[in-house]
Amino acid sequence: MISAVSTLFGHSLARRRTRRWLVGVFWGGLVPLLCVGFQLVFITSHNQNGIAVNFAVLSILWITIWLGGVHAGGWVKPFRAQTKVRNIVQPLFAKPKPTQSELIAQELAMDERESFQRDYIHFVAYSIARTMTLLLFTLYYLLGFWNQELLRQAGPLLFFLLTITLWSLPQTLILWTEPDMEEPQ
Amino acid sequence: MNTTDQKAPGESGLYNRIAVLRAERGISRQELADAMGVNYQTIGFLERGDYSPSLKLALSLAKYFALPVEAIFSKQPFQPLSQQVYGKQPTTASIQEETAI
Repeated sequence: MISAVSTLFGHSLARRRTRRWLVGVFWGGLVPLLCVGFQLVFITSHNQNGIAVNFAVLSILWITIWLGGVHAGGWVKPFRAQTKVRNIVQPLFAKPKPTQSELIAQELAMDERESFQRDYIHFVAYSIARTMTLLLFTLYYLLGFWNQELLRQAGPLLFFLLTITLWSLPQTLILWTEPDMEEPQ
Repeated sequence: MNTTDQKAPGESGLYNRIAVLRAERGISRQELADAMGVNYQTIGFLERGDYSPSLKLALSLAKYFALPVEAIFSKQPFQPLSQQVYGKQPTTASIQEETAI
């Protein structure tokens, strides 16, 4: 599920300890930072919500690049098999052999254990997200009793936090739970 | 080799002899993984008993090692190879008996 050759500042991601540090940095630092950034953008430009939407889209793209799981790139293999891009010139001149893109696709393809693990992790992530949605919704509802202005401002923030969670929780669970990788020998 | 045979299964609850067979044939995890079309880490998970393979993968492994599936996987601990080859394992009582004679 994780590329064994990936490194983070020289530390191999084959080690679970490194991956847990990464998850800690992501949830402890980056997610609050993104939320604060989104809130600032939203508050300062609530008459131009397009800016806030752009910020949200960029954040999500950045998370994808950082963690992976969606397309090739990031530390977690893509959850869906990659589309093979065939070299149409090569077969005309030589015996068909795997193109670079096919080799990358093979490298990124998940086997049966990884597919099973992916599905299980998504179920766990769904269960966590379901509870979190309920809690955020309750919090949002309670804020309405307390302060209407705060409710108006907190709504998009809570929604953004939920979006980040839904987008990145499976990847972070994989990075956290996969054991240390062994040598291929 | 015998100690590997008796290794307790992990999460799968299955005992297996993949590590023994692999060592016996001198092939790496990567080579076996390539032959099976899986990631080499999956071979590690199988060897530790942390993953229960699909029927397709189990049959592929059996075909690769030219052995029946039940020779590779078992729900019961495998007997040590020495015991299988040389018959019943001598007990302490039988050894004492033989010594007395």
